[in-house]
Amino acid sequence: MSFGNDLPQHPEKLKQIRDLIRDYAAESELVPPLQEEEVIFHSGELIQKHPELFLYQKLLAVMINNYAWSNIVAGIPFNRRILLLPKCISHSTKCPAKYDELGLLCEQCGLCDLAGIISQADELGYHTIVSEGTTSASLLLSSGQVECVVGVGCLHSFERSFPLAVKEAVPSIAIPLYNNDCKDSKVDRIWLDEVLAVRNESNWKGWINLDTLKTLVKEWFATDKLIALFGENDPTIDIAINWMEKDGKRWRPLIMVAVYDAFTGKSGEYDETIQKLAVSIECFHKASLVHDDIADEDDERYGKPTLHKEYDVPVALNVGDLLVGYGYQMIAESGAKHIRKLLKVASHGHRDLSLGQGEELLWRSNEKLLTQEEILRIFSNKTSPAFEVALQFGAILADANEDVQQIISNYSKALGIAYQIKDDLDDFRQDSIASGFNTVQPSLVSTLLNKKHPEKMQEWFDRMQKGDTSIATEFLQWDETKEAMKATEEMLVEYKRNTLKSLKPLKHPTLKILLTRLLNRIVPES
Amino acid sequence: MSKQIFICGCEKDGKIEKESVQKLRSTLEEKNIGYTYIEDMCGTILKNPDDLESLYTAEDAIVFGCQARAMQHLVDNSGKKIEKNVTEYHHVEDENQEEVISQLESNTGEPLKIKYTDSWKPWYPVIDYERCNGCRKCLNFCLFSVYSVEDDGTVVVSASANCKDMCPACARVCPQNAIIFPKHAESPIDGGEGDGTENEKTDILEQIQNEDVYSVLSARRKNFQVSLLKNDQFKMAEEERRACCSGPDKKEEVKEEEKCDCDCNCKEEPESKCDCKDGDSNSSCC
Repeated sequence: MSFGNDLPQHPEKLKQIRDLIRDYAAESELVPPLQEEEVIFHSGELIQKHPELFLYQKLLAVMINNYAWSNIVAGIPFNRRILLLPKCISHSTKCPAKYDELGLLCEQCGLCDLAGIISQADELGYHTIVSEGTTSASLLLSSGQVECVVGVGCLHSFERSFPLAVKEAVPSIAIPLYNNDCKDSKVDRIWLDEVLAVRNESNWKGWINLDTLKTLVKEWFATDKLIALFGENDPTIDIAINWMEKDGKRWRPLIMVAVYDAFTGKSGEYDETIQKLAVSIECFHKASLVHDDIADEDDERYGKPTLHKEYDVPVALNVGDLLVGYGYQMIAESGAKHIRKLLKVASHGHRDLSLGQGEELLWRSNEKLLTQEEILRIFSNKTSPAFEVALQFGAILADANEDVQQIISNYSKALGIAYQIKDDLDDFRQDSIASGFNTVQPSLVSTLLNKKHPEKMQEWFDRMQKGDTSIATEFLQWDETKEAMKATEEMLVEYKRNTLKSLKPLKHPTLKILLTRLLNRIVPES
Repeated sequence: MSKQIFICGCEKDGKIEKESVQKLRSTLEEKNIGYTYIEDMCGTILKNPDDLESLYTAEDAIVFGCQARAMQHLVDNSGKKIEKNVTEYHHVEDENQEEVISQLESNTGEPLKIKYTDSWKPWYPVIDYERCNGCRKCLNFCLFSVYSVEDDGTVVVSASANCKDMCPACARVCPQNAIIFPKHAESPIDGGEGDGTENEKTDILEQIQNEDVYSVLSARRKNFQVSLLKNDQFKMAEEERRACCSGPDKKEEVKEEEKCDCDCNCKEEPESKCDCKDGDSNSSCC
């Protein structure tokens, strides 16, 4: 066994360490979800205070993470918790149970400890799964629906599933098995029983089911709803409503409502104020798309003609302006408590977006490659404001304080950059890059390519200028391009990490959990 | 050219009976039949493939070991065996083992041994390409990236060492039952024929991703409890039936047989001196 992997083989010793961690954690306020670095930091601190614990480094990490979650888990009703047990507890040769794809179907024959554990969990109301391998666990975690997991497993398997648990920010407590050898395993029953039965009032505001919320938010953009807000019998309004109603993921309204829910815990209750503000955010977003499509000379969006293609540029420009007007009208007429604050956030967002866009547009005319710093600044200015406005709207509606608003602002900046880097990378993952790259659109990949292999970039540029169309495909197959993509992927990881780091000072667990999950939704793994 | 004999002992935390392997080896040695003993074929095929050169190139070979299907696909998956060569696979406890051995030539040399000394337990999946339809469920299911897809769309086991010890979960997910774990304890995952029930796949994995997780889990629990109950009832019914056949009813039948048609007393309590009896037996009337 390697250092740090050890586990004391007696319940008394385990209890002793748990008490120690309780004392330590009481002094340092741990707000979940903790990032891996934080968990490692705390276990390091503990080992410095108690050097004899160095053998149990991984156990300490698990226990610290458990402790961070304990208050939240205690606040979750038993029937919303899932108990994940490992199949290796079962009798290795005599277990009579059958399996389905989720795992072992325990007959509670009494040959192993599973029978006792499952009856206790049943009595409390848990949903129990005896899983084989960790795949069913990860499927559950990533479903976005599971509100709480109590998991038993070996330290080895926790190491594997920890990153996923952090990513999905599912409230969870992990209890390690005494042994790591995947056979006839034993778990500390005293510890497990204690965790299973824990139930208290807590500051937990409830799990936010983003999928359910999304369906609900979509209803606010039905034609009749928009007519009620915008009016009708005017051809320009009809175009605007049609454009608003058409497609779109409604990310921004969803974000606003989710943040509001994280503060208030009132999922499902949305008055006219909230609905109007949600529509205002979407108005700004859709207006920016119309103008963007004109500036980028794009012919299609959502697989259909862009507005200036369907009508013409002047009509499209005007509809964009109309939507901006509606956006501010919705805020003014929302009846919200903090209209002035909302207007400030919206107008600042608007300004920053235009400045970011402006830098890009002015750069385009001089056909010069941007530096990495310039690109990241454009990325941030172009995308962050839209996310920020949505997040701040939710927070302001829920009377959040200045500290939270500052954290949201930092989070949005990093999130916007991560989003754009992902977008940039996705362009390079297509079969060909259509519109001459890095002359119309700033790209981090091509900037990194140019930095390292300027001659390649020059070759590409020359061939493109001569009208060589095959370069659009060939360009993507170069090793140098792939190398630049790899470097960009690393930067994406870094900016995702930065996004989560910005949440470190956040004291509000429900919001912290939500924002952690949102990052994963907005910038998913590719 | 005589047949070349190989025996896999499945030594690395294996599943086959050591005694059966030992018995087979002794039999061959008594008959002076040369053979190659492979300590652990799953391990060697992956870690020291060159050691199995003699198996790959043997024109006519017999391999004794775990399930025939498991070994066949294990060897075929390696892609090293010369295709036109004939290789038969038998379980060490095969019923017709004697017959197979009786047809072998003797005096074919001393036993050889292929060792497996690695500490890693060779636990990894083997794909039965006669069954695999390339659906990629395993690929998406496995967390440890054991599987990958070749350019032509074939799903392959590309990172065997990543496989989690004792986890055969992908085999349960496979709709074709095409995944074999030779060291697994149960059939058909070990390459055996199974009992037919394994074909009843549920779509529970899709359900938990697309429907309300909690309702799906509750329903699963409920269904299972109902099936256990049914099982219990079935067992009870079985017992009752058995009781019917061997219990009091049957005794009555026997008793009736002993009775005769006449009106003598031996109908109720056998009397040895009754007229209807022929000596000690009551054959004359019953």
